[in-house]
Amino acid sequence: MSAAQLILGSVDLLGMDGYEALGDDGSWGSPQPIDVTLQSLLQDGSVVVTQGYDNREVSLRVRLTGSDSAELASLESTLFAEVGKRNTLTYVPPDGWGPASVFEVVTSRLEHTLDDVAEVMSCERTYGLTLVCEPFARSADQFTVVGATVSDPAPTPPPPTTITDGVSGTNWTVHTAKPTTYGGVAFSTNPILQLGYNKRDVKTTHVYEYTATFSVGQQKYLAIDWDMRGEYASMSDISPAVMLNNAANSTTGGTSLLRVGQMASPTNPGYTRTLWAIPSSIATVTRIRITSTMQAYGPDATWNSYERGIAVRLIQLTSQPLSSGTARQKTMTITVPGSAPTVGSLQVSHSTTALGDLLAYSWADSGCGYTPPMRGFRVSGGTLTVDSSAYSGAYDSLGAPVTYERSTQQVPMGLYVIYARLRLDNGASATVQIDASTLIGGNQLPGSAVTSKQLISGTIGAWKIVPIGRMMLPTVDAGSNGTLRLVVSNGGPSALSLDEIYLCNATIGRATVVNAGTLGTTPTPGAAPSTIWINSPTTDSPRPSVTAGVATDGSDAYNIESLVSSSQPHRWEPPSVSVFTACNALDATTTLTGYPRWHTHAADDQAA
Amino acid sequence: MRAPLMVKVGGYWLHQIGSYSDLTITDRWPGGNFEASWTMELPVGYTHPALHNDAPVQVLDGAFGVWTGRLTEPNRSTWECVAAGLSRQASSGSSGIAYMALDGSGNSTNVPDTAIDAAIARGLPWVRRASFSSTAYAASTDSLSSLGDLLDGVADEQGKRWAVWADGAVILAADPTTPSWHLTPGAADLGYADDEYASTIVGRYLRSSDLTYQTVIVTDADAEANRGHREYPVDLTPLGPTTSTRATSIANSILAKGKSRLGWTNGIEAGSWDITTPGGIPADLTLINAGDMIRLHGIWDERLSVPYLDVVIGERQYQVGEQTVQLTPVDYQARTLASVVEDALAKAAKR
Repeated sequence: MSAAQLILGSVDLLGMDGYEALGDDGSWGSPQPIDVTLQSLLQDGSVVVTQGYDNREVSLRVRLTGSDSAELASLESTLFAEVGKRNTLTYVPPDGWGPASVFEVVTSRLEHTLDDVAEVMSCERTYGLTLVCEPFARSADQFTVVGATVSDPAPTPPPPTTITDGVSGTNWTVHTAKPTTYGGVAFSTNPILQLGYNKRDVKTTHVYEYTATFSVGQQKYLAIDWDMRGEYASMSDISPAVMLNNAANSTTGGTSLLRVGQMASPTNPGYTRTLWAIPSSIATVTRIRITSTMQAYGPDATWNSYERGIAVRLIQLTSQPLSSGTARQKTMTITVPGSAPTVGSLQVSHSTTALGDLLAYSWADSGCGYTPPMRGFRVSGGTLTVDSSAYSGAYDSLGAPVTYERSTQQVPMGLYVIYARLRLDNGASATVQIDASTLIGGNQLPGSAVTSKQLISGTIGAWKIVPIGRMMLPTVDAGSNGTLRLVVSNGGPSALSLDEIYLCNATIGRATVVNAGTLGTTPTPGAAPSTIWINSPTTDSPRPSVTAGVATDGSDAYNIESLVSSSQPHRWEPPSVSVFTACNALDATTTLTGYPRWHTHAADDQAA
Repeated sequence: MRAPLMVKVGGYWLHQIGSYSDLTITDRWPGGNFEASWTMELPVGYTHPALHNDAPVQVLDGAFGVWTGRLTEPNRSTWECVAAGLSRQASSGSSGIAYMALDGSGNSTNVPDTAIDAAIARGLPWVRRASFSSTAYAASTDSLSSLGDLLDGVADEQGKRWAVWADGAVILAADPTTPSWHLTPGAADLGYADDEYASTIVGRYLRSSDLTYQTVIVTDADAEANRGHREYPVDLTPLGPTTSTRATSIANSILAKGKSRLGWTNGIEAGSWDITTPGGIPADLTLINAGDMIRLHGIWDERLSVPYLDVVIGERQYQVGEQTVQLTPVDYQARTLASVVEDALAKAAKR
């Protein structure tokens, strides 16, 4: 057991140096929610949205004790030197178990309370200390989370090993809190839809188990293609939880896996592919346990609609992180420790290749399988040229329109800024047109056609990531039943080639675009960067910034904002944020560094 | 939380120069991008190479430009900054007319395409993607006119409006006829105004066949029957000698642009929960533009006898980060002192 600590800058307010913080009427304050009240639609009451949090105010009384009035004055002087400026207030709980919590002080003030009796009799003076702090407390130490982006071994990992293709029901069992029949009707015996749940407005937890013994070998990840099925079906988390059992824990417990990536399945349309990291301690698996808490909300979530649940289409062992087209386009889940939104620095880096044009997009994942790149959803077009140097692995000549189709389930509602990696093949400019529509059963829904045009200019022969449109998507609310169709065409006069288009939802995510492709492909200090840092604004530096360099320690970093065409500050909110990166380097690493933030008291970082 | 719009001034990200707040963007139809304003936290008298009169200003959603204009000289005491949209460089203003209607040789011209191209060559930051009009608007080029006045005249003649949006392209287009947005019932109401209403256009012109002054009269019979007879004079003599066919066409275009409809006494303030796309997707307030048509459900349209009212947005004002947007219909008739003064100044400037 150790003593409590309360340190303002360099002054220990609970130490033996003449300072004593009095806890009788102190307060840590609270983050002040910024609520916006919206008029509700034809109903009583109102919709209140918390847009963020404002600063908190910490208040303390501090007693100074000295041998004489001269020492008291000296103590006051030392304390006042820590006041009225940026500072930190660090609190360590008295029992020695909880970690330190740090309040970032924006400014502060000191007020003396006159008590001549105490001063004469005890040689004490008491002060009120008020500290305006950032909304949330943080841990004392930074975290660093490395995204799952690098194949192992790179660049050619072993091929994936399929455990089950989800077609056969062999080895599957299911445990559910619900009876196996309802109202005399048996639950589905379809092995793809491993039973489900039927009750509206009630959360039930279901466990799906695949029992078979197999070796993990050198593979690093477990990949599962899954999907929610049934009207108004939803899940409490953004993916099922996965636990592995082996011989040592076949009957009790198991090892929970950490989700490291999630995107639309490239092989099973409509499914979400989620990647979990397998701890190196696991060599053999005897059972895969998939757990999900589900519910059904909605006017038609009837009691007897029992065919809701998870459909599993594929389970694989793999050493390949999630990518789209090539290893230049990576999707990952970044675990954000703490319990409150934090700021951080996202680093994208490669040891030998310059990053070229970089698109880094972060978003609050819903588990629907949404990711920005669209090459995998191309259904028709003109000449398609396979090119391993293209970000997507191929490019279209935009002499003919290119059509993409994607389930509306995988397109979260919102405003999308649509980017493309394009090349001007001749002339000076061209007009790119996007025609968006929504279909059900192959039929375009009425009122669903939306068009956006954008003039593109650039250097002939140079690939560049540029914005080509901005629209609400899907164009019609069609639930999970619709298909979003995008047709990209060139209105001329110049010819264009199209590598990839990216649908970046601005309602749920933030995008940074750095057009560093003009600086070359060989990492060069002061020129072509192989590392780019995207820094969120902080109270110290209340501006987002983008810096670049070659050395990963930042020793040759420079501000590259002049080449940044999109600079939306990223928001890092626990427990995780999905990140997509597209750049010229294969298997670039992505790392997030920041402080875990908490409401008032920091918890164990490792346990977070 | 929706990603914020960001600003570039003079090629610099504004947030790199200093903290700013209250970013507000205003669009108008006609006109396009009209004004952007914000307040910065900078020392009194601070200077920066980007913060000066005529510095290019872009408001961006990601990398997509949603507003483009030029900075007016910032107030270096309060650091209230205002940028004017690109279309305003063609029109009269307190600081004079930025661009006149001249041809490539510097002579006065009434051919819109010629005037636009020559102004672009002289530095006007526009793009002309398609022909505005290659026909001389007026016979005489004896006097000078601003580029904006020339384009206004052409737009009136064709029953259209012109604008310059964030991509810098000058466009000439008719009002939309189908709504891009839907407003839920009860979210707003509009009051009718007849200040500018006229059932009949009376145009005076110089007939080209015999060079005599003639009068053309056109009437919206439906409006006249329902709202009464009221005449509106139009002086077409500045066109020079012209035909009765053209004079009639111009008078009809003025009616078609709304002269024979009642105007509105107020705008509306609506939130993203109130406005949806035709497909039922809640609107992103930054995507609603002046020139879009919005369907106000729950308001009876007496003219068409339908339980909704379609109006074209004449002004959209949005403060970034707010949950509501201010929308003013095209036929809004000034009721506030500021609006009345602005209208009066605009009319005086045209004279």
